[in-house]
Parts: sequence; C-alpha cells; structure tokens
Amino acid sequence: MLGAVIGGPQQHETNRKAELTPLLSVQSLTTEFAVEGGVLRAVDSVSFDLQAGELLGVVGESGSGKSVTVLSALRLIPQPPARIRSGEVWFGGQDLLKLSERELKKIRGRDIGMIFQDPMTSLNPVLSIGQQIAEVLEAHNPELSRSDVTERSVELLASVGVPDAKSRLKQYPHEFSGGMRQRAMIAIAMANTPSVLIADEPTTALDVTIQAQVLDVLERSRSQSGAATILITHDLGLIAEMADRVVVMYAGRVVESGPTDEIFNSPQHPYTVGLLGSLPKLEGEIQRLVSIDGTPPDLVALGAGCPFAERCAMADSRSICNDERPALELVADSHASACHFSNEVQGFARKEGVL
Amino acid sequence: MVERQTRSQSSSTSVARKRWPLTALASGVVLLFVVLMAFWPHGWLPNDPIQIEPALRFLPPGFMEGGDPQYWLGTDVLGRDIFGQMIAGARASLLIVVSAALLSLIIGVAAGLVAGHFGGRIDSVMMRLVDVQLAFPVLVLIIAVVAVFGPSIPNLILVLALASWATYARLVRGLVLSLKEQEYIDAAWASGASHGAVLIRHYLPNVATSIVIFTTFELARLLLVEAALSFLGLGVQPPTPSWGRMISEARNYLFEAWWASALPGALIVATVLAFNLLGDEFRDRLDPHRDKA
Repeated sequence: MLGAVIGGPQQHETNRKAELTPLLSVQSLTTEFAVEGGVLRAVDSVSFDLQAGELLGVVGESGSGKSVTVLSALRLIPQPPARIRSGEVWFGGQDLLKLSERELKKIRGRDIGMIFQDPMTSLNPVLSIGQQIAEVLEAHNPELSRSDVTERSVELLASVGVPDAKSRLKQYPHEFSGGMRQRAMIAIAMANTPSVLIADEPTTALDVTIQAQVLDVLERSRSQSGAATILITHDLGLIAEMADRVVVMYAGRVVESGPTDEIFNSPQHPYTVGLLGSLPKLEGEIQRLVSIDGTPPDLVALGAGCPFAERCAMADSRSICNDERPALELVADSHASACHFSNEVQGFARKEGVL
Repeated sequence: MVERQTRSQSSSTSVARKRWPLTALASGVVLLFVVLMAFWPHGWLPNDPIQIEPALRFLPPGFMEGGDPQYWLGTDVLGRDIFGQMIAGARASLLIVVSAALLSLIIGVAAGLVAGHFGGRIDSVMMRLVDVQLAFPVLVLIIAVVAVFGPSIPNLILVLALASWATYARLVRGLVLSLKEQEYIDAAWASGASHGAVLIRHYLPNVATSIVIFTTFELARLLLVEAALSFLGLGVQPPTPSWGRMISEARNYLFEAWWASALPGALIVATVLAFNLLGDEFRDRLDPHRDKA
C-alpha cells in the first residue's frame, strides 16, 4: 500500500494530477441535504488530492462545506438527512465510498485519525481520558494486553505534553482544561499512527495563547509520525504558517487550489483576494479591516452562474458570470482556479491593495 | 489516604457535598430492614408464619390488652402470626418486584438503545409497540395473562416485566436521540468504533443515572401493582404469605381486628414511600442540572 504511494515520481504534464500518486484522493464528491423547499448541495463536485506527508489547508467561511466534505469522505455524515450523491474517495487503492461499513471502520481511527473542533464536546464526559484513548487502541489492536494498552496510553498522553500522564489517565474530561482536552484528542487521533490526520478547526474553540501550544503539539506529533494532514480552518494565518498547499472553498465548491505561497502571492480567484484583503496587515498605514460585501448565497436556490458573482467586484455587469458556472481549471502548474477571468485577478488584487 | 485527605478538605469548603437529609436516611434504613428480613433465613421467627391455629384467632398485638407477647403483632382470621407473615410476605413481594424491574430494565433499555441508535424503520416499529403497550391498561393486561397462564411467581415476574419495559424503552430512546448529536459520538465513529462499542461504551454510561433514578420509582410502582394483584387473588398464592393477600383476607374484619389488615398496609406504605423518597434523593444528587440551585 505504502509502496504505491512512494512509487517514484511520475510526471504528468497533461492533467492536474500531481507528480506522486496521492495518499488520499477525493474526486468530484457531491453531498446534498434534503431540506424544506428543496435540496441543499453542501458539497458540489469537490476534488482534491492529499500527498504523503504534506499538510493541506482547507479554507473557507462558515457554511462553505469544509467539514461536510471531510465528513462525507469518511462517510461520517449521517445519511439521512445528508446524501452523498456521487464521487470517489481513493485511499490505499480502495474507494472509501464503496467500502462496506465494516471495512471502513477498520480504516477510521487506524489509517485516518480525526480531530474535532471543540474539545469541550468531543470527549465523552462519563468516560475517563484513559478509557477513551484505550478504546481506539483496542478497537484496532485486539492483540494488545491491558497493560500494553495502559503503557501505550501513558506514552501517547505524555507525547502530547500532558504532564503527569499516568495519573491523568484516570481523570475525566471535566478535570482537563480546554487545551489539555485538545491534546488528549490529538493523542486519540494519533494513537494508531495514522497515515492521514484530519483536523477540523482544531484550535477554533481555544483561546489564542493555548492555540499556539496546541498547534505546536499537533505539528510535533505530525512530524514524528509523518502523517499527511488535512487542516480545516478559516484562519488564513494558520494556513500561511503551516500548509504546503491550500484548497479554498466557497458555497460547497473548490474555487481555488494550489501551493500556499502561490495562493498568497498570486491569487487567481477574486474570493481568495477578498479573503486575503480581510487579513490585518502588520506593515503600512493603519486601515480599517476590509470585509467581502454581501453574504454567502443560499445553497438551495443557487442560480446557473458563478456562486460568487453577486459579491464579486470583478463580475460587475458581465453576463457570463451570472449565466455560466466557471469550471476549476489549471492556471499554472498545480494551481487551479474557478473563475472566468482568472487572468485579470492579479490586476484586481493590486488595485485592491492586497498584493 | 490521599483520597481521604482531599475529601475532608473539600467538605470544609463551600462546595462541600450536600449531606444526606433525614428522610433519605430513614428511607434507606426502612429498605435495608425490609430487604434484610425478607432474605435472612426465617428460622429465627417466633412462630411459623403459615401455621394455622384456630384457637388463637384474632389475637390482638402484644402491646394491647389480651395480647400474647409471643404473637407481638397479633394473629389473623386463621390464627396465623401477623409479624411472621409480614416478614415472609416481604420475601415473595421483593423477589417478584425486583426481578420484574430488572427484567423490564434489560428489555426496555436494550430496546430503547437499539431504537434510538438505529432509528428508521426499527425505531418506528419499536415505538409503535411501546405506544400499544402504554395505551393498554396494565392491570387488565396482567389479569388477563395471569388468568390464562396461572398465577405462579415466575409468571408474575414475566408479566410485570412485559407490562413495564415500554417506559424504559421510551426514556432511553429519548436520551439516545439527544446523545446522538453530541460531538463525542461523532468522534467515536471517527476512531473506528463499532455499533456495539458506541451502544455499550458511549450511550449506556450516559443514560445510567436516569435508569437508576427511574428504577427506584419503578420499584415502588411495581410493589403497589404486586400488592394489588395479590389483593385480587391473582398474585402470590396461598400458603405463601403476601402483603396484598393479608389485607384482602382481613378486610372483612376491619372492626374486630384492624391490625390484621392495617399493619401489612402500613408496611406497604412505608416501603413504597421509602423507594419514592430515595428516588427523589437520587434524582437530586445524580442530575447535574439540579445541582446549581
């Protein structure tokens, strides 16, 4: 399985597949929710690849479908109300969307670990931290003895920087602070040294000083195990700091994807420009923070055009933006954008003072 | 050692644990007494509880005029010792009530977990069964079943359990439906937990306190139902003593010998009250939302 992943670089100039066979590949994933008055397409033919060892950032505002995408990929989204309409999620030579529930359970928690947003609610309040770490170890390693499990749990908890790990294993979540709980969550996610780690806004619920510590821990466990990571966030600062590549999502679609420095230095989609423009700057004159005008579109009543057209300063009165949905197309090597006028974005960004 | 130290420290602070109120303590003592006398071997009793002595008919309690200290709570219409019958009756009643409660708990909790967890058609079918069960008058159902299959103790346990599982199922299903939305359940799925693991390790401990609280009230209710059945002659059959039948047999002689029905009646009241008061106390202690007051 791993052999295929490190199987050597195969250069494909023609399509947008990267040089390595990706570790995890999401292909035109579409997830819908049946809601009153129609169908809400929360994820609309989203595709992205995750290469071994890299950190892929997924950014977008609330409701852009970031979480639903990864939850759908692991089939963790409750169906109904959700429905995965189409798509493929390739991992280890298998399509996760076609696997049986039993086979999928073997992969979850063993090959793919997940960290949730709010450590206050993602640990079971009536089970001790030790029991919850032990659970994921036992589920995938039935051969481990009870003392092996305890030993490994202590090791894991210590590795994420929880002091006095042995006695804290017996404590319950309410005896842990927020930062400590998120560390415990990281320990649980990393328990079986997964090759893929999915972190769904791991620091959003934490205060800023703790965020840095938790990210540090995350980064350390990641570099030790070499796990490829999908980091879902709406914090562009975090992306700039940590991500190798970025996927920008808007209204359930990927609007831009590419290497982090390219996204930041030469964005090819007006929405990305808007996001970058809303960041506070450390240099230059002090200005008011800019926001993107308008609100995200109603996903139930999405028109035929570009979902961003209504808020886009570049679209203005151009009819194609309102009539035709732009496809995600390569604008440079491994840099893709879904904008009819991606070649004008650079100029637009300069005018806006983003670049 | 360390534990004791921290406990004594915390009890001196303002967040000290609430002390057990007198009512709850008294309830505990009453129940302990009833359980002990029910299941302790009956060899120590001054008189054989089922021995009929026509000559000693309606002997008043020992503290009354004409009473015999050996029969200190008096005798009934057939000259049987009231005290002995009350104690022997506790055994049959508690055996039936506790077994029935446990059986209905197991059936109901399992049904509730499955219905709430899997939802969909399983849930609909089970909840309609529950509705039917709850819409049917319990006593009528029990009378019908006992009339057909006979009033043996195993039959009574079974029929009481079958008449009580539905409330457990509905309670647990409701709790599971709200637990389902918790992020830690998502997290459990994400770590590869099986259905069994989620049901047993995540849902069950979370619903346990509610089950404990509900069970104490359920025991009180079942005790009354059992007494009512015995009163109607559908419960424990003679010669095995039973509280309900003692009242029933003595009710025609209320003016001649009040003790023969009043004393077992008082014991039923005391036991039921003790279960209820203890249930209240459990609820106050185990429900975190009630702690804030």
